[in-house]
Amino acid sequence: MSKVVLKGLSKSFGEVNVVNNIDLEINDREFLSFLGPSGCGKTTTLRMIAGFDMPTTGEIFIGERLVSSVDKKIFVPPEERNVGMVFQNYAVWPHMDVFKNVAYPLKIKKTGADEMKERVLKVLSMVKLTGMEKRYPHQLSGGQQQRVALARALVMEPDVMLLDEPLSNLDAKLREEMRFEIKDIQRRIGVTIIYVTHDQAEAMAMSDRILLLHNARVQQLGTPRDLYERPENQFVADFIGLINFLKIDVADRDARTMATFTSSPETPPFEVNLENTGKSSEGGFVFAVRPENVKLVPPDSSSIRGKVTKKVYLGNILDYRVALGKEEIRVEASSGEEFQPGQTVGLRFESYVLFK
Amino acid sequence: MLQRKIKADPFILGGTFVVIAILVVFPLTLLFLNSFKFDGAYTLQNYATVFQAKRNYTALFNSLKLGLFTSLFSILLGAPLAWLVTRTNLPFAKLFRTLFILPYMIPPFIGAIAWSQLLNRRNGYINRLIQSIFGIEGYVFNVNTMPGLIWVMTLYLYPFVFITVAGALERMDPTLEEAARTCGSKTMKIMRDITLPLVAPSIAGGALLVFASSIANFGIPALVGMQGRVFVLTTMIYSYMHSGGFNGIATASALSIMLMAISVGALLINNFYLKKKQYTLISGKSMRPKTLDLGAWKIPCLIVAIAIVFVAVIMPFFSIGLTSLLDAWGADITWENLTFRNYRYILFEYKLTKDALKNSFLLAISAATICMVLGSLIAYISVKTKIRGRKALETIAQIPYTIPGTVVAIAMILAWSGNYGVNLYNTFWILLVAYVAHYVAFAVRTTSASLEQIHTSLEEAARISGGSWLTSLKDIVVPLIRPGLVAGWFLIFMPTLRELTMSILLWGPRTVTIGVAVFEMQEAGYVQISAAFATLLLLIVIAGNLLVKWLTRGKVGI
Ligand SMILES: Nc1ncnc2c1ncn2[C@@H]1O[C@H](COP(=O)(O)OP(=O)(O)O)[C@@H](O)[C@H]1O
Ligand SMILES: [Mg+2]
Repeated sequence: MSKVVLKGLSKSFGEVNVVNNIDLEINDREFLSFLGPSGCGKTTTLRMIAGFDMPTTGEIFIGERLVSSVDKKIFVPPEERNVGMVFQNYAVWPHMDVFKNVAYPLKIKKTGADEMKERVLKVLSMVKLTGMEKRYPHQLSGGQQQRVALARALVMEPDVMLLDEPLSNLDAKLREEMRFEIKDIQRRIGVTIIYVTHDQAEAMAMSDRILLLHNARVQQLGTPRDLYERPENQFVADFIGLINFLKIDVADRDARTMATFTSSPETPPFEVNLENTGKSSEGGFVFAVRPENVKLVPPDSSSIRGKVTKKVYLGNILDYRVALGKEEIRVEASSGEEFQPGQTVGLRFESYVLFK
Repeated sequence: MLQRKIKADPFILGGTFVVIAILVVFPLTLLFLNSFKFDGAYTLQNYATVFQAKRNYTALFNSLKLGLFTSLFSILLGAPLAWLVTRTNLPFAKLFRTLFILPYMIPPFIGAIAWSQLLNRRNGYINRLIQSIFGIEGYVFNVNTMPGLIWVMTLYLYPFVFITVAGALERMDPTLEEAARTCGSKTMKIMRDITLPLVAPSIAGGALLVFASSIANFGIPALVGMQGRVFVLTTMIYSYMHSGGFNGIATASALSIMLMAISVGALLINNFYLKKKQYTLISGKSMRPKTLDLGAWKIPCLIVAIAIVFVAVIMPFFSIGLTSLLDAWGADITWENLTFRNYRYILFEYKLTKDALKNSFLLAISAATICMVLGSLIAYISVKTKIRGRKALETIAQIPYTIPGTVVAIAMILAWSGNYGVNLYNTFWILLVAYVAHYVAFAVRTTSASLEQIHTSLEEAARISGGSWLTSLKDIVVPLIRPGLVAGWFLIFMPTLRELTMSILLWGPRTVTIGVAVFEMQEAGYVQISAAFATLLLLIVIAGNLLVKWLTRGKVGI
């Protein structure tokens, strides 16, 4: 039950910089995810917080305690940080039964037998493993082993729990189930969780905030809604959900900011809002629009026209490809008039983002 | 996945069953029966006789003692060294890893000779050194004793423990230990609670291999023990066979069955019990375990590592090399006393060594080739066909390797010395038959491993294209498994070239082998020429190993 603060945290292996100058405050009881493609430095950051890797520069606070500082030459070893950790491959000890695995942190702390039993049974019921105390890991399914790992981290009542892709080895159905359970447990006991994943849906579903990493750098920090609706750069927009990118040329005309598609200059100019780019209002931009934010209308209802090339019925939505000049964009329609391939349609952009 | 099986030529396949029956089943059955045969009747008399004589008793007891202590010391030496090279920041860990395995490459009887030269009571180099330094009379060490035997055996066999433990430590998922750290455990406690319990089955497995091998070994107890009248089962059997006599072979048979029971028992425990307990420690991601910083212990550990390499590798090599250059054994080591004459003698003048080289090369090449042909057929039958009894065939073919060579040799003598119409006694052929029987298991193992990687459809495609079974074998299967075949051939060639345990019981006046020649010269007291011959053999072994390593791109060999 603590906040975690990272200040100017970096890590290099030899010449390679794998974590670059991260500043982050994780609030008490927050569920924060590190999200990003494989190799972007998520695990390395998590391991620095756990104390398995020594930062090259920067400081880490857990609660009020400075646990790692390069300048002040402070480094608290993992066993003294009181963080719980759940590993991707469970790391459940094969030579101990479930009870012994979960009781281990308490044994180290020399907890009395009665209290130990009570606490172990309590967390086992929390992760729905009641009655499995005497089983050995090889007698458990992957999901159950993952629950043991979770229980082992919970039983020590850690200040913060670190989870490194804990669900990636489970099958899809179990994964969804565990998402809710982890979230539920966190709500009940109010522990701070730092959760590593490369799965954007998982991060969106569980997190209070997401730290999106790419190429060792922070791309954006924000709520799932921030990341989806207000991506700060093209990478974020592309990584979270589906999006169309179209090049546009922008020019001021009669005090209005007008854009034309670079690949189809014959389309009449349309007005855009440049506020969120904060850039000067001339030149080339990238126009980013999510498929569900494009509305298809009859050709005479919009000056921007395209031609339907493909249509796929997906039950809840119709998935269109629409040719716009030389480019093709994806449109998801959940209501409105249905168009056929070959038809000319009008396009209306309901919400979009511009990138320089 | 269920693989479809292929129909194959019944003549060739049936022949394989017959050959294995003749090569393995027949001799071993005879040995078993013969151990009960006394004065033409089947009784327990031989076993009773065995237990009446105190020397047999003592030999049995000595074998067990040798096996147990060698295993114990191998654990004490091998396991910490394995930890040191895999889990700490010991400098040159990779180099040490190779060096620590090296003693196993030295043929055991050569190690025995080296240690006899170093530690023998009368004029061992080390005893002489101690005498001259401290100015004392008499000896400090005597290798021709049980402790001497255990010492030499441990230095030869500890690599088994070292290799299995190093492998387990290296493959162990590092997060298993890291998880314990986040639970609040410190390094030493993690070693006790997590690391040690997880590698314990591997330690025990390595130790059982050491146990079985030390009990089956002949060269070391023969060259080190017999001079001090310390007998173990293998040397006792040898001396019964050597002294001849009709009941000699009966007693030898009974002792052989006992020897076999002990060593096969140890291997069975390993296969059926420990192998199952060896936890799956491999992690999904191959992350190398973090190494422990030795800190102030770095230099002391390095010194210990160097000292062990010095004692286990450099000293024996040096001793053999030095002795091989001596003009007169036992005299002071001076420039005048050094010569290459011994080499000229063994290479160009001495009939015994020239014959031995010729015979051993011929035997090793023939045995390796025959083993590979036979072994591939067996592997093929077992992996690629659905002939009934194919698994039994594979298992039977593997048996002789798990049995001590001494026992195989006795079985061969019983089967092929004329009692059943074929007399190969004292000929080249009996050696060849014994080598093939003992080593065909290697061929089966390496080939079946490669065959399992070839999908049946590749062969089926060849046959659909109109090829016969033999054509598809020749054009598709053999080329695909060729690297495995080459490696397997060398894996048989190398040990048969230096074989002693079976050869010493089977050789005849015209079929002396390298191992036998070294043994006989050593027994006769031709210390320098036997050392020269041993050095030559060592060079061949090293060259062979480098060649295999090069051919298999480092997958096989030390
Ligand atoms: N011990 C190490 N030595 C060298 N490079 C490493 C080490 N650990 C991780 N890396 C590199 O650092 C980068 C980030 O790794 P990691 O933090 O595991 O990424 P993620 O968890 O986001 O997939 C990768 O390119 C990886 O190869
Ligand atoms: Mg990772």
